[in-house]
Amino acid sequence: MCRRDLFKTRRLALLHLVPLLLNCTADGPDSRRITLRVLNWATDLEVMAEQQIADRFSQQNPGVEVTVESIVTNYGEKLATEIASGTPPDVFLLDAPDIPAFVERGLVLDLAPYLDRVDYDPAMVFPEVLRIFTKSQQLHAFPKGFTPMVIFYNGALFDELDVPPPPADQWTWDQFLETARSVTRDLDGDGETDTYAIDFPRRLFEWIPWVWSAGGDILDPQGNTTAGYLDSPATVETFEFLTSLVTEWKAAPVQFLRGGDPMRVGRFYVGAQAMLHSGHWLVPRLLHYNARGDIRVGIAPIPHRQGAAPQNVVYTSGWAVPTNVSRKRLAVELAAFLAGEEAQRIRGENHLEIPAFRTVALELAQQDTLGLEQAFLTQVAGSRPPWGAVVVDFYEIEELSFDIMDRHLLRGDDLQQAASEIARQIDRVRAR
Amino acid sequence: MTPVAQKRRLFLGGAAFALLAIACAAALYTALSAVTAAERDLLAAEARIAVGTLRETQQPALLDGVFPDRWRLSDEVDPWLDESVVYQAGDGLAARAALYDADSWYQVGTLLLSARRGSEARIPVANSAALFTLLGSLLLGLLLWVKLPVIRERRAAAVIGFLVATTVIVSLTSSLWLARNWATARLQEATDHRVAVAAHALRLVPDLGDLTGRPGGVAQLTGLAFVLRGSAGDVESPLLSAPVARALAMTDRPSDGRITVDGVGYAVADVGAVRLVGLPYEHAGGPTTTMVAVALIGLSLAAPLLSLAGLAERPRAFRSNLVAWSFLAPSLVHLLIFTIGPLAFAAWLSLHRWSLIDAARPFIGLANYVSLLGDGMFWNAIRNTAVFTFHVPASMALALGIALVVRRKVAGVVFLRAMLFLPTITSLVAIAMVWQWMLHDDYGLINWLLSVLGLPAVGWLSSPNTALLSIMIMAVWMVVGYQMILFQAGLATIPTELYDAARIDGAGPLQRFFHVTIPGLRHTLFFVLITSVIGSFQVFGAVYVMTEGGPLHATDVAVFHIYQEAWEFFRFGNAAAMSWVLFAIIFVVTWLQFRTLEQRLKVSR
Repeated sequence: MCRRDLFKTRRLALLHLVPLLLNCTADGPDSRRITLRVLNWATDLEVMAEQQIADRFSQQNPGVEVTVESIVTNYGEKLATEIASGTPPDVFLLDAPDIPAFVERGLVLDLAPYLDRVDYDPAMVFPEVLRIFTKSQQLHAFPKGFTPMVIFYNGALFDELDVPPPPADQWTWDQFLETARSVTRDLDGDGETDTYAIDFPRRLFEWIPWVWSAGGDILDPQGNTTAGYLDSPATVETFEFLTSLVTEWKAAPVQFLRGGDPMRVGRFYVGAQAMLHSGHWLVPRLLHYNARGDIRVGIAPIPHRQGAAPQNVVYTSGWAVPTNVSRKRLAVELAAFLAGEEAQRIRGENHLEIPAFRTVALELAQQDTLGLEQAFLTQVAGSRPPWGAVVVDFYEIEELSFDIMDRHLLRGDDLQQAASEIARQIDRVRAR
Repeated sequence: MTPVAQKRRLFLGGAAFALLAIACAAALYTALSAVTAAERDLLAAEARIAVGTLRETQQPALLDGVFPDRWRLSDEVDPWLDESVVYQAGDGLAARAALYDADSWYQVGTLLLSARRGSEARIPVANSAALFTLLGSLLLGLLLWVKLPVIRERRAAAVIGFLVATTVIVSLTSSLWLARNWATARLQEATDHRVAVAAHALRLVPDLGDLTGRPGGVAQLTGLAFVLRGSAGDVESPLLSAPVARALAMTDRPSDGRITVDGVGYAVADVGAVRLVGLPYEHAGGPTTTMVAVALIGLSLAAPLLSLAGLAERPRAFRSNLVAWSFLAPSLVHLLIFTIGPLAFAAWLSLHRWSLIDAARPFIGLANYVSLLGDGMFWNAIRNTAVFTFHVPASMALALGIALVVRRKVAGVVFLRAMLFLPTITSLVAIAMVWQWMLHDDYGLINWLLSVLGLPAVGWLSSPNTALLSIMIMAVWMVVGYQMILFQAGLATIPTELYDAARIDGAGPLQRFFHVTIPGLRHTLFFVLITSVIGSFQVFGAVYVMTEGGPLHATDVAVFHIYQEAWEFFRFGNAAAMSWVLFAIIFVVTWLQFRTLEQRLKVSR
């Protein structure tokens, strides 16, 4: 075969190969697959359930594959980077404090026009939760689950110390203080507290229901200014009451870490702390220790100041769709499915949060023989959205507000003065 | 000039010419890309407006008024079609958009839209080519200019180098200027067209009241943010922040249709009570940054050529330099892309109000730097960083002491060395978490040991007085093994004869240490000090894991503060300015160390 013939033969072979390759790569319309990405911060307990829910969606939508990407730490950074680089996930979990920033910049799709299409009935959702994601009749995410803040207590320890457990309904600061003092014990007489009453609520998300339940606040109703609110008499009185648990009554230990005292939960499990501030996310682990007989867990509300109405907070997250998503219909359907009844039931088995659907939450409460779910549900009515879901610069407020009680506890500064200075500082930074 | 030298100079001229060509082409390409991206975005937006208009009016004929001779409908229903897809059709762009029912859910057809005539992005090639040819020829001529008999060779090289550099700078700047002006004009044109189309589409809606009564309805039709201006001056804005909306709604519209609020320009169009608001393309996707980066890279690549130009008539030096530059090239390119590039970008960021998720990134000059002057928190972080640096002499003294001990050949020394070096190769996060537990007030190992000794507990990480000190102690523990290894290497280079001679002269251990060991280790000490100080200015991981800057900002160090500013508060411009200030501080400190210590090293030689 001459060189020219060889080339011709090769060319022919290539020409035959082309349709073969096209058959392999250019699939017909029916065999095409779409991959949708879901971004969340699911931890070990949740990630299996989230993938299970995503798989159910894939089964119901042939040709659609859903990948669940879980970013446990630095979630906000990853999400912002993806959106900024023009490669957003199809659906992402929107945390309540991120709502204002995302909505103001038009980064999340208004889901209200599609409610009928995806068969999503907002009336099924707790109104206290729904309103966090609603603004001017727009719905910015389908609520996933939520929690108010409560005080867990170890009933077994209360029995052991022969102290009556906290009430299931409302209680005042005085009643709380009396209980706290009763369970605070120096068992070996060395002058050091061996059994603490409670952990110190140093972080804003922990102490804000205390402030509200004292009739105070940290911002004006429009969320514009902190001066006159963060340093108002009711708010400062709350700071004084909470810090007195550390300084005067030695009922709460304090660690000045932003992530909170790393030992607080451990102390509660081993019976060295009688009560614990937390939300529903702690229930799975508490149930584990409860089942082992280490503790006998009960729930009490956040105490309120005499004369002020009790007021709790609702922390929540929801499934949002980026505005620049490429497959809007599928993304909205997926978001609705992730927040739907079936998904809420699957997720409910983890006990990490209260399902956003009332029917599902009530079902779980009926199944719960310990009464924890019911105790949580009683806290929901009338709860307020967190300030993070209302104002854009909330992270600044949260960061700077650490200093108020820290200055008193570490340097002995006057709380009124510290609160006023921090309020002015926050307003200055926000004005910038 | 010999023929060989002439060939070399020709080669260099060609290389310079190619370099200039690449840099100019890259600059032009950047501008072209920005315009092309804007054109694609514009067409996609037009397609969305077209299907939105159809959905709202149900009258296809109305599209002729907005997109004359550019659209057609198809019954094709493709469930895999995105909302709108822009693609290359023949010699122009075209878009396909899914046509949905009135509820914007089920696809009922497909709309095909071609790009408007004359909108294809064409770079002013003729002008650029003419400019490039002119300047390139000048450059080539300079390099081939051999008749410099009266000037000595070195001076000739300097003159030629200067002329080459000037020509490269002028060429690049001209290209950038030309391309940028062209791109800006095209982007402005695209913006104006975008807003005009949106306004036109809105005018076609039969009952605008229905649309404005539905929050987001206008935005869904036009794809632009909007404000509704009430008669009483009240403003409703679902998609703009309240202050910006008020400013936009109340400001009179200037002749160019642009309104600037807080340094950000907005293109606006009025349709009755609706004011449509769009961010100009040149603001969101202008090519300036990339073009400046290209120019910087282009200019810095001139260094090898300038180096070689001076050696054209020295064959051996020329060859060795050429080989050296070819070996350096990969790391040089790496350095340019991953070090110089980010540095330049950070400098650019520091002059802008820049947030990761905001499309508007206005130029604000030195405002970020000025605001730093009054930012007490930042200077507190700098002060903490400076205090943290004091762990360096402590760790060096300890490392040197250990190095002197473990160089003796006694049992267990190898094991001890290995143990001391382990922290260097262990994950910082793991170390920090273990130390966090060890330093815990109530359950920490260290306080337990103190209690065994009958001493009071210390609030290691809980007190602002001790938190930074605790991290410094941990830092010493972490680096002492690494420094010890360096000192051991340094000690091995000191001749034993010097010690023997000192001994014979009657020197004791201390005298031998100060007069033999220390002078012998001066270069190692210098290296360890410089690198450790620079490293300590960049401390981040330990603070991030252990204290997150607390308590009361006692451990808020510079890099952690910058991280918070950028990633928690999304003020990247401010963070970039802080980074440059930190860079300047490190630079000055290192320079001072070099100045003072190098003098001493010279004296002690």
